[in-house]
Amino acid sequence: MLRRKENQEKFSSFYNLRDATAAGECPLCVLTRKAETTYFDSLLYENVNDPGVREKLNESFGFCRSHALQLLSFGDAVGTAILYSGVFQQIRNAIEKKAVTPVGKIPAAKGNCPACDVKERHETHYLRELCTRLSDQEMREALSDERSSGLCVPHFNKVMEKIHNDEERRWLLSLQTEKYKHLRTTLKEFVRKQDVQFRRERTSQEEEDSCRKALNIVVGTIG
Amino acid sequence: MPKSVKHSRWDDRLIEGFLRLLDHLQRKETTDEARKKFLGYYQLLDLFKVEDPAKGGKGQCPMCVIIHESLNHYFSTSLVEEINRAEYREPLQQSLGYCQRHSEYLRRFITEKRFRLGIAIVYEDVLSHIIEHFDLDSPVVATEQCPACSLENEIEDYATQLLTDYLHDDEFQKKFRNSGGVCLPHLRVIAEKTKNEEARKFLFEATAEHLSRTFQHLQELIRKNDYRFAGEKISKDEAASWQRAVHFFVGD
Repeated sequence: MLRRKENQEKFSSFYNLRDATAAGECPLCVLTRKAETTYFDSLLYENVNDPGVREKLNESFGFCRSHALQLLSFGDAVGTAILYSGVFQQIRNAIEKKAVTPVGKIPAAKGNCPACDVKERHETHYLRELCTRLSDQEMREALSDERSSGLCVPHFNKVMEKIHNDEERRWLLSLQTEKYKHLRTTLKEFVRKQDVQFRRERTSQEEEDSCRKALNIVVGTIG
Repeated sequence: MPKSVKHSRWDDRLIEGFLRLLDHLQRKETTDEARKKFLGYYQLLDLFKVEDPAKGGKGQCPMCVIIHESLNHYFSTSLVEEINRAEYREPLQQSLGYCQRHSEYLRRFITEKRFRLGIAIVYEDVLSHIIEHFDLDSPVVATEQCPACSLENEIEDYATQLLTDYLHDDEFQKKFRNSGGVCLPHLRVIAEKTKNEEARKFLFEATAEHLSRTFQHLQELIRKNDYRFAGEKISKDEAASWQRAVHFFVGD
């Protein structure tokens, strides 16, 4: 009865976080990236003609660089063309006016990148969830599991900023140290095996992947 | 030059340029300006030729292309030739490797085996630095700027100065009109640096022309995807217009 009550308090966010630790990357990065992909998917599928969406995009001059590149990666030519036609016309008119009166600055964007807003919302949500669950045994087991790589540096700093419980802070710091040491050892092995003296020793998949993992863990998962 | 030797107009300009440079050197008026004018000027002209969409070019922003090529060169040489130099590796520990934007370059280089060793060595250092500085009371943060950011800023300043210096030049203007133009972030930077009103007017006029062309292609792309006009062929320019539109706002 008590156990069922405990489990009832855990909703989908908890299980998403727990499952994301098995991806071998920072779970917060994994979930944020998933949210961004879902956002672009549904935007291109059913919202390209939505006036509210278009107005927001006109104000923000489209998406920021990293989200614009993400949009392009979907390869939806018509959807992207429709989304950007309004804001493109707007900037073209502004530049044409400047050609007549070249004084003053080019107008700047007024709003935030809409995809950045989505990213921030999800990130805040999952950060809060993780901070609330750090003492949970199931969460600790998932984070300690060998498939987990711990948190990336930026997210680790954010979590440490939010949690005040000494025991949780010590536990998390010890986990991060252990995970980073393991990654460093794997990288060292990869480097050693590139030496001509050890060329007969094969690199494992984990060693081959270690460069990419190291990059991701230091800056946060990129694209 | 002997009169019997036939040479093109291109040769005339080069020869004239070299003679002027020699003159400067002889009169000991050697300045960086004198050298930059010839190499950088022709470098940009060549770039406009390459990026001319009418001649099959991608129409990319020349400033972005210069920056990308310089950064690609920086990464490909430093990951192989600089990797054992303390002057290269120590700042990277302090900056916690490269920033997110420049780590995109590393992600491309990681796919090539010859660069993976360099990346592994750099990030082994960075991880060691992070582990050493893990602390309960203070976050691990970069204490130095990303080295690639410093380099990019330098290159951008140089390329902006070059473009600004030659905006009034006739041949430069002609080639600029035929290119894909500059992206919005670089347009802002160049417009701010250009004090000459005629040059600013030209910059905005030429950019407005580029944008009108792209906008027309964008509209046509949308129209031809309507089932009623499905029989009409989509041109290369129209097919690429959606990417050009996005890149205009964020750079290439």
